[in-house]
Amino acid sequence: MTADLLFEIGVEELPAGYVPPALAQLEELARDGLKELRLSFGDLCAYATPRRLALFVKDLAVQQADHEEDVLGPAVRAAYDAAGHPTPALVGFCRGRGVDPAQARRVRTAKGEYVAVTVRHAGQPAREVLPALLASLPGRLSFPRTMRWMDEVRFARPIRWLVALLGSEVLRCGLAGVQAGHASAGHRFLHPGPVEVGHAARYLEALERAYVLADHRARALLLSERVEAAARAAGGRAVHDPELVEINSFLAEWPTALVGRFDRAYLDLPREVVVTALREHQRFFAVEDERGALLPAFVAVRNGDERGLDGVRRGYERVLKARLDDARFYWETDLKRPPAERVADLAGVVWMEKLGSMREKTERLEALAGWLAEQIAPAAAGEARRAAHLCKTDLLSEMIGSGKEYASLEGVMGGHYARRAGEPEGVCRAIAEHYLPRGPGDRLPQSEAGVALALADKLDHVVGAFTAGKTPSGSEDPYGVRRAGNGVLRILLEQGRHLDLQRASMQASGPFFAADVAAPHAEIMKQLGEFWRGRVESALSERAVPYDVLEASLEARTLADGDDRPRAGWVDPSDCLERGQVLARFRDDPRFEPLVIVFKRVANILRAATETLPLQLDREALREPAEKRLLAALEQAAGRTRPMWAERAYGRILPELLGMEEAIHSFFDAVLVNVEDLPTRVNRLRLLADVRALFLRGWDLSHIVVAGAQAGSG
Amino acid sequence: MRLNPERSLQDMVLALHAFWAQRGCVIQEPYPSEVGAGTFNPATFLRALGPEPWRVGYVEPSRRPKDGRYGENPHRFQQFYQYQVLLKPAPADVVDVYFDSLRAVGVEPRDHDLRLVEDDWESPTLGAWGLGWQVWLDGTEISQFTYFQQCGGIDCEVVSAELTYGLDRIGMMLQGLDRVQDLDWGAGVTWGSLWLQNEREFSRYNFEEANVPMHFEMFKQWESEAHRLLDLGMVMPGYDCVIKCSHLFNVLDARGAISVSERVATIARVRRLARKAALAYLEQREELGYPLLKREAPAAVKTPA
Repeated sequence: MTADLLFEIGVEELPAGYVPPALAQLEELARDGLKELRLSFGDLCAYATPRRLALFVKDLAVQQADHEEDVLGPAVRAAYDAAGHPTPALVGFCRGRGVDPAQARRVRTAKGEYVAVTVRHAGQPAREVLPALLASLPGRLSFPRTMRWMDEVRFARPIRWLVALLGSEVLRCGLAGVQAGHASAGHRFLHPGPVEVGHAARYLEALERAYVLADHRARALLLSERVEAAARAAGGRAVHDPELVEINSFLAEWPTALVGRFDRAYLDLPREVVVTALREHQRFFAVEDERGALLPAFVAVRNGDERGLDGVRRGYERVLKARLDDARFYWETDLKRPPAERVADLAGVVWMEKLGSMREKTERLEALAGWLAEQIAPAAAGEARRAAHLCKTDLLSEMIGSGKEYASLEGVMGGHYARRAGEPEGVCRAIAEHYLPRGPGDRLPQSEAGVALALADKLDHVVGAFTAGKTPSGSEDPYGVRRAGNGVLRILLEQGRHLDLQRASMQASGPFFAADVAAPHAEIMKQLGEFWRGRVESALSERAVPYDVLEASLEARTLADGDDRPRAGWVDPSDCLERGQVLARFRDDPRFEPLVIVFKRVANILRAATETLPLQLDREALREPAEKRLLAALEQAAGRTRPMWAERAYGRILPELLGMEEAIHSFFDAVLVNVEDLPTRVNRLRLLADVRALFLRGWDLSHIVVAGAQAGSG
Repeated sequence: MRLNPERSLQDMVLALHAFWAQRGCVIQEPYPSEVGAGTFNPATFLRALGPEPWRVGYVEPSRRPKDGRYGENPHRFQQFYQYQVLLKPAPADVVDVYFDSLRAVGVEPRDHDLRLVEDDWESPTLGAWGLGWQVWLDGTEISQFTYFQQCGGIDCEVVSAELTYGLDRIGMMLQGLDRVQDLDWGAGVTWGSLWLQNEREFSRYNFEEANVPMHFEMFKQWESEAHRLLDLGMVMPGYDCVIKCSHLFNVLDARGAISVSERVATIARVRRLARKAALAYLEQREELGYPLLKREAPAAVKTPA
């Protein structure tokens, strides 16, 4: 026997953004909860409007399934007396479980022999076991923020009614001072007062009669169609914005779309400004023609029917006009002063406590963006410097400084102002792009100067924060330092750009250190190194580089072209990623394990050595054939890989390194490294150190975990 | 007396006074000092703290120096009028009662689009926050509806509902006007004839003429006075100084004298004071034995007495 279940949580208006995640949680919690209660069901789904979260279960078993459970009792020696009769211990245990002692059986366990019984649980009626589950659901939903309204109960907004029906029977359950019943609520104004839901299966119909479309999927679809129809009536199409459809559908229980208009003159404003004015506060859809040009019209969604629609439209148009007037006031005021004239005024804008003004930041960015452009795109250096000079001036604009709703257009507005002032297009684009990416899902800067400036802005942020001691710790990152660092890595990794982060940080730190000569420069650089290493590590593991391969790549001692000082493996993140990916691919190769074993043998003996090694190998002192063979193998591998390192042809390098395997093994077999004679000993160690150094240019394979890596000790 | 709230702002105020008085509110007067919002009035900020029940309604002329537009903008002005209601504890039917109060001033919800749009309200200067909504009437925000969670950084033991009506905005909508200047205040006098000159002069003052060093100095002085008085357990005079600091900050901000990072630090200084006042108030009420707890419980909000 089955019946349908309805559980509706009636609330005061929920924030639109809270609803979709709550729906998913509600379905999952209910699914798991019913399974645990051994109540089978046909189908389960959640519904929501701004004022309700509802769970509907089709064909729910009205009785729990019976089930059997094996229960362990006392140990056999305590369960039976000498004559083999049940002791009081066993009798008591069985009575407690409702089982005849004659049914007890013996089982062997790790602790010895015990008795066990099989207990048969008869299923309970669903109506008995459901209330506890249902009452527990609201408290287990998580929301970005919750509130109290009475006692200590917390929820996204106050809970004001509950409906809990199994078929047509009310389930006795209560929460937050509210008892469940048949009574739901209709639309606040179109159907004030309670709505009787006679039967769980008729929930949607009952509410629809009370002007509530409770099924959000159907509601969003209808809303979307109505918005489209309205946009067509206005002579265009709605600017595609699925997020805005969802927001509107969780703002209205009975959505009606209407078209409003505004003066064409406002279309002189930048498109982003108009769309933001429509969207951010008013949740209106912008309308564009088939070529994508904005029309002086919008589509709004009203929570209600057609009554009084003209008055509503006039209200919308009036408020939009006020917003657009504000925007135009900002825009026109801003155009009176070109960005170049505002640079000096940046001296009055503090950037970060202890780190001076935006004027000083601008100066640092000019130098740093220019330097970065030289590294990654020399042709764009001039544009990058000019863009850096101007990029912060929109902070002084009315649009960004006064109009809070346009704060998201920081940078974008700077680009527009620069364009109006006749700056070159590359400069304008770089300014517009320099905050990108703002977060993990945001787009990246595309122009070369934009990339240089975006990197400079973030590097200056990170290095400045470390200089001022505003470092992130644990989960705390009040100055957004990690976000800035992650932005640098996304640009470098996703665009495959090569940059030495250590040198870049050194470059960025110059002005900060010059301004604060007493600061512990070496210590700060060390902390920065650890920070970047951590960012690279997490970025690479997000890109599915296995942990040990990642360590091996991070701990490499790479050599840049024409530089004989080794660098840590992480300093060029894109290079590190390439090495990691190649090594990870090589992992399935049968040559992989021998390679690791060989490297570990070399590394272990060097780690154990305490001697100071000579700077240069004394080739003449190598007499043994095995020594000479190893030297030859090393020189061959070094020679053949020399051009490959410069090309980052890591996939070809690994096999070349493996070519030394045999020579290394026979060296260990034939030659005793730790001989009495010191010059011979250190020279042999020197030879091994050179072998290791060649491996280390790509990977420190001692971090690799392999099953057979029992390294010999020579 | 016959009221016509759709005709004049003063009738609207009288209608709200009558509505909330019938629902057990004390009808108070504005706080006689510059405040940025009705929340600053001790009848809200302090009374929302502690266990004592409280219902109050009052008009608060509120000053936001930065919003001045020299009287030229039809929708923005540096002095505006809030009607403020605090219901502590928040009754279960408070949302419906709020909509009833709109009916009392002539807004029939079925003729309009009335929406509760999420708003995590926060006053960083007061260390106060709550969850609730902005209420939109045909797209215009006309009210703020907040369930107070914290005041002065202290958890509200009893949750209050704070209802704030933007009188000028509601009046313009009721009278079908596009310009605040044309708003009928009452007795045939318009907003423009009452406040236009005031807007011009205060805009000029706030943006151009306010003496910056003097304001910085006064901020420092009132700040230390607030600390001194609150240390002495003098709650009301101490809190009065906090309100002054807050307004001085707002003027300096409008004057462009406070940089982005100084802003955060200065707000934090006012917040520290607000917290200190809140703690002193709680201590004082406890010592006084919570006099308002001993009152008879006010009538249910839905049924007028």
